[in-house]
Amino acid sequence: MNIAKAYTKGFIQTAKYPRMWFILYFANLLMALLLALPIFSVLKSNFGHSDFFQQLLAGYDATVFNEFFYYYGDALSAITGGIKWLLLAYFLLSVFLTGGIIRTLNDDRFSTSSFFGGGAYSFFRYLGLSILVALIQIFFLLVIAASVGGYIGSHFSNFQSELTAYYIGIAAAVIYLFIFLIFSMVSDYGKFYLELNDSHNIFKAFWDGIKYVFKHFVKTLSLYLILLFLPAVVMYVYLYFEKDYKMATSIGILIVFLMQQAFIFLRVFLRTWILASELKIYDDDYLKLNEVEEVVQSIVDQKVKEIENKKEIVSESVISREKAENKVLETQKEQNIKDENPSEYQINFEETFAKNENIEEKVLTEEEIMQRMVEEEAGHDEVDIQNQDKNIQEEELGEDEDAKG
Amino acid sequence: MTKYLFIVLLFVTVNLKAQNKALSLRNANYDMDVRLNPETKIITGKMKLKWINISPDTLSELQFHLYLNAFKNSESTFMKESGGRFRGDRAGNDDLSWGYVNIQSMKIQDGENLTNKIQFISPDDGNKNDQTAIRVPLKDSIFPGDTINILINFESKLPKIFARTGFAGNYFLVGQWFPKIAVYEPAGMRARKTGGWNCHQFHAHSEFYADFGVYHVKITLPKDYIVGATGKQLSETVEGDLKTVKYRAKDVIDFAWTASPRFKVVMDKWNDVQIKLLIQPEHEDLADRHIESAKAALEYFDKHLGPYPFSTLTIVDPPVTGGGSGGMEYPTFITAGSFAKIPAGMRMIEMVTIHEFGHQYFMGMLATNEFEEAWMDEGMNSYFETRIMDETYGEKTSFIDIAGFRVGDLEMQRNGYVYNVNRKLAESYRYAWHYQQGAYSTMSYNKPATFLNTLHRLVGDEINDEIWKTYYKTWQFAHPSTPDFLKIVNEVVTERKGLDFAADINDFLVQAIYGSDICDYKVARVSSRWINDPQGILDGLQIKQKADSAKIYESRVVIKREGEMIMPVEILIRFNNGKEITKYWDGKSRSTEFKFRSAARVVSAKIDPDNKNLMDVNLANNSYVVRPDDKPAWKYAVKFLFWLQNIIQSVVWFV
Repeated sequence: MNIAKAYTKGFIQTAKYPRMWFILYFANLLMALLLALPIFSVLKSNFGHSDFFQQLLAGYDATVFNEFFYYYGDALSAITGGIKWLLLAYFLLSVFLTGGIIRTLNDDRFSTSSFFGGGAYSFFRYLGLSILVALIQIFFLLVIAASVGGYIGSHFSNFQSELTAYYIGIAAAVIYLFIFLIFSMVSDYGKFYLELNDSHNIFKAFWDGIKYVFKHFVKTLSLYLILLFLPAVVMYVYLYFEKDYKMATSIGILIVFLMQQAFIFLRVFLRTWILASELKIYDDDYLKLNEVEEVVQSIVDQKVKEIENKKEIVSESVISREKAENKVLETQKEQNIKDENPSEYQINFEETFAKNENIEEKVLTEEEIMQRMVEEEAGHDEVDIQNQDKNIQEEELGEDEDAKG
Repeated sequence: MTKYLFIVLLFVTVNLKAQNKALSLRNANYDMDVRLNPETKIITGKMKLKWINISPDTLSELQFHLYLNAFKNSESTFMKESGGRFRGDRAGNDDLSWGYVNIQSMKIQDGENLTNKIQFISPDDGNKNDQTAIRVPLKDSIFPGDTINILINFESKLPKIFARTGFAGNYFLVGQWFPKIAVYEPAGMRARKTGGWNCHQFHAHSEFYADFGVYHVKITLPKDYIVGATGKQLSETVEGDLKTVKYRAKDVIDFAWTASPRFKVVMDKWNDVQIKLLIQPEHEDLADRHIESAKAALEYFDKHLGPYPFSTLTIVDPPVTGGGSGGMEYPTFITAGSFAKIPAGMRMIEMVTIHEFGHQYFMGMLATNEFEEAWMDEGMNSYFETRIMDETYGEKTSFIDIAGFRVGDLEMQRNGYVYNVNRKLAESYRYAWHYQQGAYSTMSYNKPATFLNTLHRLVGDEINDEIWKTYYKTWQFAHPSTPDFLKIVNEVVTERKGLDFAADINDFLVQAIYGSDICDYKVARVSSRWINDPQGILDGLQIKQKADSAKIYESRVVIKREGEMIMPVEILIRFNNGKEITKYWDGKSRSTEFKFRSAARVVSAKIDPDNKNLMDVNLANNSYVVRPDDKPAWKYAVKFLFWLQNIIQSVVWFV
């Protein structure tokens, strides 16, 4: 499946589940409100009866901000200090919701029970995979930051200009971003592996994610980058309009609030869209893989069966040969007895098994024997049927002859 | 007798000034011939100091600053006070990083050899390991008006740059680099009770102090080096791989220079002043920002303080590795500071250029003692910096104006003081090295810039300009002190606004300069209640409420003084019928109450409605509105909500 197709299919599928978007959006809004509402209370109570803060309606004011933070910063810090816990809580919630999203996308149907059921079912395996990937991302961040920072720090005095440090810094940031993106993709495809295979092995999923991303590198990265680019564009558009919007009236505040929420809504939608599109290409490849696997498996099964059959036939032929040999031996014994006491039934073996010049004789290999036996086996029935038919015909013919007679 | 001699001397020197068109007394003059070895970072030189005793005192010793010895070892006073860190830079600890100045020989021309008489002194802290100040006893006294020529051979090893001076690769900023005679202050000068040398050690938080003179300096160095220096370049000659440049600077208190083969030279002009910008190649696109801001400063000072009397101005843009030498002032020679690709809305280059140029006045011409009264150079200069920056780049946008984030220069200076936890830690009038916990910059830059802007707003533009112009005219090319400035303020304000107003202004400045109290006035309460007509039994008569009687309200406004600083207070009171009343209070008692009886209720009260008093540390409590508007709270709560939603949504990338 090409990217455009994955896109389109992902979009169409995402668009089918508005209830899912709303769940995701409200999860975001409600979590943010946990801190935003106390902030509003702090602002309202501390702005109090002063008209000093009215200046904020005209836009950012450094003096007002400085004064507010100087006198009321502690109250604000107590609340904003909760951001780290909120981030942790939202991380866990996102793991849960991602389970629901993937379940919905995979089943291609939404129901509240299957959405939350999927979230609950996949929570721990997705959490494990997310933590694994996050640890790797953090590891790379530390390694790159420490090595680049250390290098710049120790060599800075030798640089001709700060541009050298800029370029190193930018290169390191780009490299890290690249690594970050790759592992984010790995995390997504790893989850698809877990979902589609109903597996709980996060390491296998991680490895499968890596294999998949690198096997379809251009496709997966392009898909991810384009969908990353879109929110950046939207953010730019938002900031472009927002910077000139003073929010000085109640209507103005309401309008900006609606713009903001539309933006958040779009981010939530885009995240789902990314997952849906990724799942489309993964699913497509997964199905193809399954079809091939089924074909290969059927061939393998057939072969195995054939070999087993052959083994059975060989063993049967061996047994029958042994029986035949035994019979021959018995017959020989009997013949020996008869030779000692010759009778009218005596058979001249030499004569009987003497080489017939008219017939080309060939020594068969064991396989040829088996092959022939299988063929004979198969043909035996036909011969029997033919014989039966022949007998019937002969009987009928006899009856007719009798009738004639 | 002494007084008589002093008057004669002053007469002679003033005449001397007139004859030579000298702007200063030129009592400390240097002729130097020096050579820079870029490999060893050593400057070897010889100099002749021609020093005139312009005091009425007979002197038996000389004192010199050897500033560069601050970088000689870890035990110098500078290093111990700074901990080897200065403005974010750290001193190096390899052999090449140390710096020093050695006097190899010192003698009086045609006279006494002083080399063996040199004694290190540490008048400020008694640190025996500090070698930044010396005294040299003389066999023969120097009488008032006497001239003494001293020949000195010296070697200056430049340190790796971390505090103003030294080298960074092949960039050299050579400041505080030669043996420099201290200032002799006779009794009465700068309110001194007795005469004496003013020769402080080099401290982490202090700058310099010197007499005026004429400098002739010959510098020899590799020919590929581009040079800039204090004063005017007279010549440049090349001989083999070396070149020699000659500079002359008149009526200056110091001489600094720079050299680097990487400099790009940008020349420009403002009136008759030649502007020379030595800029790093990677910053070449920022040249205009340096030049234009320097021109803005030249224009502003010329208009509001006094003319720039020199014919040159050299601006140096250090490389980032020599950033410690940035943001420094020397006569006609300043260092700015920039980073490649710095956005236009981040006006650090402009601010630093304007600030350092301002030091041409507040230090270069109004040559205050930076050791003892740092507020007079840094504070006054910061005040002018706020004026120039805000006028040139906008009141609330002059320092930063990027993506809706705006900070004005005055805002930055004021906020640095009023919202500083150390705002009560010290006075502005204090020896620079006596400040603790970072209070030096707050008290010598931020607070003076704030109270001088307050003074400006209190007296108005016209009187304010008159104060500064008078101060400049009176004290240019001399050594003013705090009382000298206060005297001029009092004289001008008294003449223009009367004695009472001048007394208030004087009280304000004295509290601001010599005190550490903060100013905070507050509208504590605004209330109104309906007053009924008299009713009940009054004087035996039953009085009933009249049906048609008009409603009368009694409104009260309570003002409190929360801080210790006392200032007159102006209060604007608004009524619900649109009427406004302005009330005045001397601000001395802890609180006062204003009562009003009228048909209208008070809806708001505001202290200092024209926002003149920038010293008030809490502007939020300066007003009280009976029915406040919640919109600001809604606006920022909504903004906060949005950014929080974005932040938490970003966590999804880790899932």
